[in-house]
Amino acid sequence: MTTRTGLERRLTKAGVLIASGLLLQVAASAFVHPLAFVAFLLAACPLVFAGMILFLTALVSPDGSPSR
Amino acid sequence: MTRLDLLVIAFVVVCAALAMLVAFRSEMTRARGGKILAFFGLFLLPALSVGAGFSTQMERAQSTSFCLSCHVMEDHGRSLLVDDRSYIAAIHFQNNRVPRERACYTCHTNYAMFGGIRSKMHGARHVYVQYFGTIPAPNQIKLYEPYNNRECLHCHGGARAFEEATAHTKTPEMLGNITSNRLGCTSSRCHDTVHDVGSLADSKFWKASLP
Repeated sequence: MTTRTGLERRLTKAGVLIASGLLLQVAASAFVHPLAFVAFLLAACPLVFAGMILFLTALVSPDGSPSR
Repeated sequence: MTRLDLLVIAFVVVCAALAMLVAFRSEMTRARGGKILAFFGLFLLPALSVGAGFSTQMERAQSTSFCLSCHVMEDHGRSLLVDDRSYIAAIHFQNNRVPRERACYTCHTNYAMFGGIRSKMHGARHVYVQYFGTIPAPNQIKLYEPYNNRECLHCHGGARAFEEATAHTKTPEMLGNITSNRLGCTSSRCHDTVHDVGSLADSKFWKASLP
């Protein structure tokens, strides 16, 4: 079993955040209701954006450089 | 749900699956192909998904069913079916003078710069009041500001039936007063029965269903 690097752990977190945000977006699109709109805007979007930012910061973090 | 909505949902599900794949198989990013996949799965496609979702949600927020999904608006929805030509909202709805699927939004959007954004801000306030404030009785619901003729003139402005109507040309300055909003369409005793939800109990209704 290979040891995961810091970058890979961050990518895992980013992926989980993005996937949960996108699944919440799918759930919100099943309803035509103001609460669904609010859930999309205040929960799904921030989760996805947090995941994307985590991904980008992981790329530029010191241990994010590719191993040789 | 339209075919486009289903397409967007399918796209978002695929993006979520890809993000999960990268999340739980993060070792794949050691190879060049894995890095490219991670860029697509964790950045590019989620950004597109959120953009598509935002567009879909904004489109839905303009639908009549969206506005009437709150219990407090039910009477306003019923007022669209009143069988009485003096109900201005009802005659517009029943005669397709506004798109039935977007009836509320068509008349209650401010047709000025940032009007759509203001409508959304008002909508956010409605949601706040619904869950954290005191919900008014349907007949106590009032507009935030007096109804502006600009919203009527968005469609009626320039129309012959509007400009040559006897009631609109009683005096030489009357049409100008209407178009400049000095004489309100709904507040000058001409078209003042709009939703009038307080008198729905005594009304007859057109037998049709709301969208």
